[in-house]
Amino acid sequence: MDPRCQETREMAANLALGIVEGEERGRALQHLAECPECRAEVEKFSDVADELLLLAPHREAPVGFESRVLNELLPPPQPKRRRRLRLVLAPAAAALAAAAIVLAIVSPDLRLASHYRHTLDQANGREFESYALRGPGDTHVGTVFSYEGSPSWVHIDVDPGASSGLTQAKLVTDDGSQVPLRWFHLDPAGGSGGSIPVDPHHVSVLRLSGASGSRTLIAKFGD
Amino acid sequence: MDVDPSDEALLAGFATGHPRTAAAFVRRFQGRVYGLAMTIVRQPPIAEEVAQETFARVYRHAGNYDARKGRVSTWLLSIARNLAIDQTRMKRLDPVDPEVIAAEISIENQVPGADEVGLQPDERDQLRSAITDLPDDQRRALVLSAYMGRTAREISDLDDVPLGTVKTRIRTAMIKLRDELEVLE
Repeated sequence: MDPRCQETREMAANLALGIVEGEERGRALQHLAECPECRAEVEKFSDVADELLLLAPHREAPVGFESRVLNELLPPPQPKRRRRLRLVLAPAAAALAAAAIVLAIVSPDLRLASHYRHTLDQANGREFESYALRGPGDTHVGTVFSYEGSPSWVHIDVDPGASSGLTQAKLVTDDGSQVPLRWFHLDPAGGSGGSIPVDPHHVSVLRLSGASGSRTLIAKFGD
Repeated sequence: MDVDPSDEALLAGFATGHPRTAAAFVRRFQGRVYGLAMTIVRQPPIAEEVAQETFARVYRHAGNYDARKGRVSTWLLSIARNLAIDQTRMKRLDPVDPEVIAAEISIENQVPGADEVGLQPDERDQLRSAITDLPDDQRRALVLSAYMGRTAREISDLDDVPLGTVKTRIRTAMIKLRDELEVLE
């Protein structure tokens, strides 16, 4: 065995626990970058280190913990937009005002998209996506999240006012095939999620409908 | 058939700040994260601080998560462990007896994740037994390194034993546990 392999394998367990320091660590990492066999050896010990942490006792978090975390991290809800605006402006000013209104209307989505893009940039743009779920009149009635992985998943979130009577979900792929999502069943909060048998990048539309097919909500993947 | 969203799907929702999926993500993992923090720091207010900061780091760095390198749960717990170890050092908390931690992790009280792809509960029990069966010095060195972040040199100074002996104890313990996991697979 190559002496560098021998040295690295002797410290593989300690490397997996993150307790090798200094020069030794530097030498090992350099060797691991070019030796798949030694990498596989360290990975086996990393699995052990992971399992050790999972053995720690589960403990009930303090009351209100969830709310404190979410309040600190998530942006406050956006104030509701006024439904009607009365504009009496000169044409140029009206155009500027219209642009400003469009920006104001879509800005939460833009912020979300920006946050997403940052996430996607760091994840090589492969793992996560979100799409607006729209109802009659192109109204925003929810969000669909997709995750590309093994398996790939979608999570559907329908606003409370738009969720009643929806019983069927279907993906339409780029080649026009229809893939029913048999696990679809909205929980009382309007959420439902499960794995999908196709790559989300090959999905063009997710369609939700009632039993009669009369009410239809659509999320266009790629929007 | 109802299917709970995967850990990865909830992480995606959490990362985008979607309120309902973010809440589901925190709810799914808060007991584990807080539990690990308590195991290491032993003081509820500091454990809560650690757990809260863990979720903040995950929110800010969700893009760094790479599903090929491990599960969401282990990524989250690694962050919690490192933060808890930092707190014990910064606040100079009283060191915990490694045997206390070893005893705690040998008790079955887990709540598995919705799509936990790791060990099954009975397999985890076997891993616990394997830890209990380790010689005392190996178990102590293992807990000091895995849970308390002590380097081999620190353990050597702490227990007044040669550095090489500490490294061998940890390595031998890890090989036994790895072999146990391979048998279970």
